[in-house]
Amino acid sequence: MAETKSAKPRGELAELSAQLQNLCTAGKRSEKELKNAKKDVFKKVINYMTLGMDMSALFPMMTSCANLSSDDLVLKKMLYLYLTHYASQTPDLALLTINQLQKDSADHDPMIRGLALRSLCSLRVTNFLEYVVAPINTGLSDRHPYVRRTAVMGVLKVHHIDPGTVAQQGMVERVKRLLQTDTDVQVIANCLAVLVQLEPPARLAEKAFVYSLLNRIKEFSDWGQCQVLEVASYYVPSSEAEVYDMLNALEDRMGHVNSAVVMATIKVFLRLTINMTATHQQVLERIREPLKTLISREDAPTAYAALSHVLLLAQRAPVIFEADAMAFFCRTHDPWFVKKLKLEILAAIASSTNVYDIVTELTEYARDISPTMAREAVKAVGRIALAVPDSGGIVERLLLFLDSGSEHLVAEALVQLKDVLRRYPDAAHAVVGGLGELGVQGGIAEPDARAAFVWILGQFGGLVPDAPYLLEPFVEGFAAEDSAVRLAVLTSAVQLFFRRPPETKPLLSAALVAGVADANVEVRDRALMYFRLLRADRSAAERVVAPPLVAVPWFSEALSAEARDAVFAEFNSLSVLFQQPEAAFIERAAYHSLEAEPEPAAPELTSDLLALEAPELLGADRATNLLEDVDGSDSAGPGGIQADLLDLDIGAPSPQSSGGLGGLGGFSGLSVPPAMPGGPLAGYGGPAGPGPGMGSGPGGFPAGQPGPRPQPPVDPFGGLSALGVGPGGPGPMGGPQQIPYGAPPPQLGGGPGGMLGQGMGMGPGPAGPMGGPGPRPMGGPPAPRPPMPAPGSGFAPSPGPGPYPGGPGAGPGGPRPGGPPAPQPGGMGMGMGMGGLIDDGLGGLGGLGAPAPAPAAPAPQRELALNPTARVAPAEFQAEWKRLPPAHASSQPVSGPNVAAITANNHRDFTQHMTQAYIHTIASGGQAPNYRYYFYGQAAGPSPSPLFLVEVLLRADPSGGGSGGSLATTVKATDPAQLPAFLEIWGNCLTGFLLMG
Amino acid sequence: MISQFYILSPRGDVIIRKDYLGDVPRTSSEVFFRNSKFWKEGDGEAPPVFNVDGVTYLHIKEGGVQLVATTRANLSPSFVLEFLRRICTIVKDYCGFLSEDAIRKNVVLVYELLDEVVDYGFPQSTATETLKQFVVNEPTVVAPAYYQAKPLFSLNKGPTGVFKSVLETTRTDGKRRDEIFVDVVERITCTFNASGYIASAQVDGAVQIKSYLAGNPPIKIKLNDDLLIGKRDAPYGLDARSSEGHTVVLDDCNFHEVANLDSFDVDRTISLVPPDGEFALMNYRTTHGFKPPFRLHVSVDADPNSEYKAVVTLKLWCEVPADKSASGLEVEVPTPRYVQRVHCDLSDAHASGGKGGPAGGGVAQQAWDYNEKGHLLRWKFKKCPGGSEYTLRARLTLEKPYGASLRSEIGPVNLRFTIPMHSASRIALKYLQILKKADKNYNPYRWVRYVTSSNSYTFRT
Repeated sequence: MAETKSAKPRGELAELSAQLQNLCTAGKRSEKELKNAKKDVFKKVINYMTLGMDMSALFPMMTSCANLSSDDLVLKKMLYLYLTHYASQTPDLALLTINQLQKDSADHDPMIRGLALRSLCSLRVTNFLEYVVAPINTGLSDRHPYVRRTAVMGVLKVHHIDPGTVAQQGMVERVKRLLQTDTDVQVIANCLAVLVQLEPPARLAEKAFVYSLLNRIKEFSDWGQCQVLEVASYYVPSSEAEVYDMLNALEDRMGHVNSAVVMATIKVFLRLTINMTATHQQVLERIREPLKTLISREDAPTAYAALSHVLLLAQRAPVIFEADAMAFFCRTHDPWFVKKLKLEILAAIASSTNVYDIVTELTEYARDISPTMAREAVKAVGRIALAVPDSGGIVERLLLFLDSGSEHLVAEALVQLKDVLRRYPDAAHAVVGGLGELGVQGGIAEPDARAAFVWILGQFGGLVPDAPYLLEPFVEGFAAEDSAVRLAVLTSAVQLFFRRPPETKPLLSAALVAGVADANVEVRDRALMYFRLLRADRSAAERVVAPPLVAVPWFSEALSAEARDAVFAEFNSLSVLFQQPEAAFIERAAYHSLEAEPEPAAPELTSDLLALEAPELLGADRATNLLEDVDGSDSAGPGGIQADLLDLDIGAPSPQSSGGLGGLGGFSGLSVPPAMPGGPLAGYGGPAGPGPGMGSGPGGFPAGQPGPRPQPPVDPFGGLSALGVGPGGPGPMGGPQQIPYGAPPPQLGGGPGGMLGQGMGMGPGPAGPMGGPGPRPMGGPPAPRPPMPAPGSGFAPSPGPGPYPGGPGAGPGGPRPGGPPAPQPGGMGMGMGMGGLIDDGLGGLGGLGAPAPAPAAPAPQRELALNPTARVAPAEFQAEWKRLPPAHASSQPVSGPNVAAITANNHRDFTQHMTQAYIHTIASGGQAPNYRYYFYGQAAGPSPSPLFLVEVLLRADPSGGGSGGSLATTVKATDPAQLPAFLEIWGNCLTGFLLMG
Repeated sequence: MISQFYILSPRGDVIIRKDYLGDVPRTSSEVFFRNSKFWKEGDGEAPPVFNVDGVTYLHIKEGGVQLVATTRANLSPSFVLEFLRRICTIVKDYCGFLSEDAIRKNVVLVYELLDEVVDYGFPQSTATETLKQFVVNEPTVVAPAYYQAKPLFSLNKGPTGVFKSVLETTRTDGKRRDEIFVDVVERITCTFNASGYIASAQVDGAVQIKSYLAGNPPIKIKLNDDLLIGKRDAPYGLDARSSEGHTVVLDDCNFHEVANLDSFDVDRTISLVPPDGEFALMNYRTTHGFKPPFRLHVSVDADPNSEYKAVVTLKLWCEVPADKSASGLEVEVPTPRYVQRVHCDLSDAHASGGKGGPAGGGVAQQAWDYNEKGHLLRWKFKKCPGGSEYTLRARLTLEKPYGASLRSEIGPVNLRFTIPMHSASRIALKYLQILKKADKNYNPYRWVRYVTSSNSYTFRT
């Protein structure tokens, strides 16, 4: 927009200016000609204005032109339109027109009075308020309703600019009086609209008032009716008789053509009867047909809004729509968003009475030309299989999809069958029969489906005669698989090993060897963990990795019951469409605050920065790559967090096998409670950290873990809440209930939350001291992160000898920054876990590689915690980098493999490793032999918190051939006092990477 | 309330822009356009409501333009979407037509209307005739290009086929033409199972009125005497006994505010004072007494001469009354991916079979084409009279030998059509009276039209 302003219209602007000038003075034309000429020019100006060109320079000409023909209403209207658009940009010039506006607001024609008053109130200039107040006050008692209603809206406009003026003038009281006394319904509607913005609607909902509104509701416009109904929905009747009176009075609103009125009426009905079970049931019955009429409209958007509400009702009370399955069958030309909702509704209302019809219909959709539609249909069948107890026939249908020969159907069916088997392990006999012939190994590319297949092989390997041989190709092509599949392969190989040792042994060792050598941290850690577990105690390993499969009684829903109740309380609002409570997606902003707000600077510094610091490194064509890198590192944020969680997964079982690391005491009491307390939140319920530790425990199905899978960008934290870390999760992603926008219900099966909850809701005992914060307020915004209390300070310094035979050294112990960031008291346990893991990983390797430092340095710098979600804009980075003096510089030699490891995968392995320690990458790149990286870390806590900037210059030995090179580090810090602590984290993190590499 | 309102052209240009609350950045129109254009989920069509960075975008599409409202509040989506729809109708009523061109030619008029319709994000007067007193700009009526080329087109459409500004009724220069259009518009949803029986069927209908009567005289409309409406007349549910003797049975219906239903339950008359412009007097829905206008039979056979070929025969019966005919009929047959080529013979002996070309004379002008990318065989008719019967033999060349599974991989077959002057529900307007007593010679034009079209008409195979 900015470009268009400056580039093209220069000429037009000058021309229009000249024309207007001419029209102001030239008097030879007849009055009519002159006006028409003016209208034409004004129209042009308004056209350009709409296009976003800056026409404010014409202000004086426009005003004088219009004033010279002030009797012409068309010109006046155009002028006022122009005026309200530019007044806030050019208040000085606008001041010139105030006089005319004030004069017009006392015109004898009510239309002009209203027009002038509306324009006057819309100028949005704080200094003008003094000129606006008087006309509003007069307007509120104007004899014409058009002026009164405009004045009422003016009160709100003034309130948004300066609430003080409104209070001072007693305007709200005047509006309230109008609300009670006015005869014009639009004035009343506007009063309602304004007052609802200024105070809670419940306060307006007094009996006499609500009754008087409802009695004349038919006089209101459709929109006014909606406003009245909205207020009425807050009214709490004193008796049941009153409820029936209201229901009867509003009964006919249900047959209104305007879906907004119908939805508002339904809301009143539902709220009135919420505590009268029998009547509520009747109401649900009553609203069924009107809703069905709304959803079968031709107008897809309004049908979509109604369908979302049907889905909510169907999830709460599936029985109401049980007999209406046919109404939710998809039509060929329904848009996708309608079809998707219909499929969800069908899955929600499926019961033993209609399941045959629904599944038959869904099977038809699975043949749809659109693969998306076909997959959703299969997914819906899978969900129904989970929800409807008599799943025999439905499992057969899923099996039929396996035979369909079309890749997307087979893939989706596998994913669904995996969940079905977790719910009904007894169905395995029927399912696993034909797996061998599927040719998944070569035929199905999709990682989810491959992982599901591998999982089934691992769990039910005893039933599949050739399971080890089916798994073989996955191990052979290990490196080429997606990381989710690699994780699944490792687990399945171990599970299969316990079931059929002789056949599987070579396979297992091949898998572990491949896993230990893997470039992916999670895969490598899991392989190492299994390896050590097996070596330490085989029977313990069996208990951990391959316990008897326990049927999952139910899967956690995408939306918990509490969250759904919260959404239901916000019936007839956007919450229902987004399937989450208001707090999750509403971000208020100040009114009229954006005019002066500068555009955020585009993040273009990356290349600048490199050019500035190291022009010699910057190949011309690197610039774009670098930008990509920045993107990559940006998105690595959540990725890194997930990786940490997975670390945890692996870390947690270790105490079991090793009999408890000293420092990990918090974990040693891993107790699995017999029953899962308290609903789906139980998984979250143990937010004190141990929860997440369980992921790879007994039920551990790797595909359920969000880590390795690329999460949809909108849902970086959905996985987290599903994992059950809840409040313990690092960073501000808030409580488990705060399901992010667009959290896909698909996790349904994957529902690791459910799994966790089932298998492993932690006993409160061990978790207790760590202090889970308990259930958090519904959908609350991210709680402020209190500083970490010292005693829990997380990571175990692991004083004793390392737990594994591999590493006698205790390793660098705690200082690895995994622990400190654990941001909330509830996260403490997690911090521990992480500390433990790092300890484990580094300790072990340290033992192998280099002489370990003295046992258990007492975690000296624990008070420095880095902010896991620190965000530093490139411009800010650049400015700080220029400003600060180098605080620390060092150089160290690196080996050839290290150079390769650092630069591998487009530098991502390296940068992601750093991200795990909450050291974020802002730029990386360069060309052999010189590479350059810029990192930053920010201490957690209230801003401005100390910022650390790091530059790493990697010079590979120019002689090439992987003979190593040198690595120079420069660190700058805004708070030098914290520098040593940061260097500690940095050093450990870097050393960890180099050692592993 | 809504923070901004804008109208975007198909290319994303802002044609009309109003900012009310000032709590959403001006650049939001670009954010909206980018997101709606490159929507990632499903088939790439953005849902009517989505949220980006705390700003909720609600939009509808009409006449090629998008009407968008943004908000940061938790509004009722039905409210905003209905309101956008209402703005659409108002623009149509005043400009005669809604398209990018029509709006660009009437920018100032549209702004003027918007100023009266929305104040600070809240709806104000939205009734077309109350707005008239506030409007001072003259409309520039733009009829769509295709309308000028094919004036008959309007017969097939509802009242949308009339391109005339309501401001015409206030003209006094003698060119004014008083007229009222009452349209019964029905859409059929019907699914046939593989055995040819109806699996589900529904007719959604509306009585739409578009009035250009000066002075807004009251009118009276009478529907079928033997009309039965679900909950209204049979509170204990519809069954065979209660619907006996009724030709038209509706499951549910709703009426516009202006409808006076005092005598509706007695003699099925509705009296009303029609407001200016277009509105739906009544919407209804029925699943009863429905006679499908088309039947289709699909058979798939191996070709005796080559195992890489198959023959698909489609037999189509048009079962509308003989005095009516369907127009724009299209039969779509999805085929499996391994179909390489398709060649068709039409039942007409003179069919040239040329790809996509008209297939000779005959009453029905038929044609077919095969979209290789979309694997879609299309069979088109310009006109298809009631009682007629057609056959299409398609020869499929396959990549792999013919197998029995081909039968289930062809289809489902989908039909699109429009049948003018036909109502599938058999609902009828028995009379339309204009009650203006003052002037005996006052006799405006009255147009009563029926049109039935397909919403989703599917044959499973």
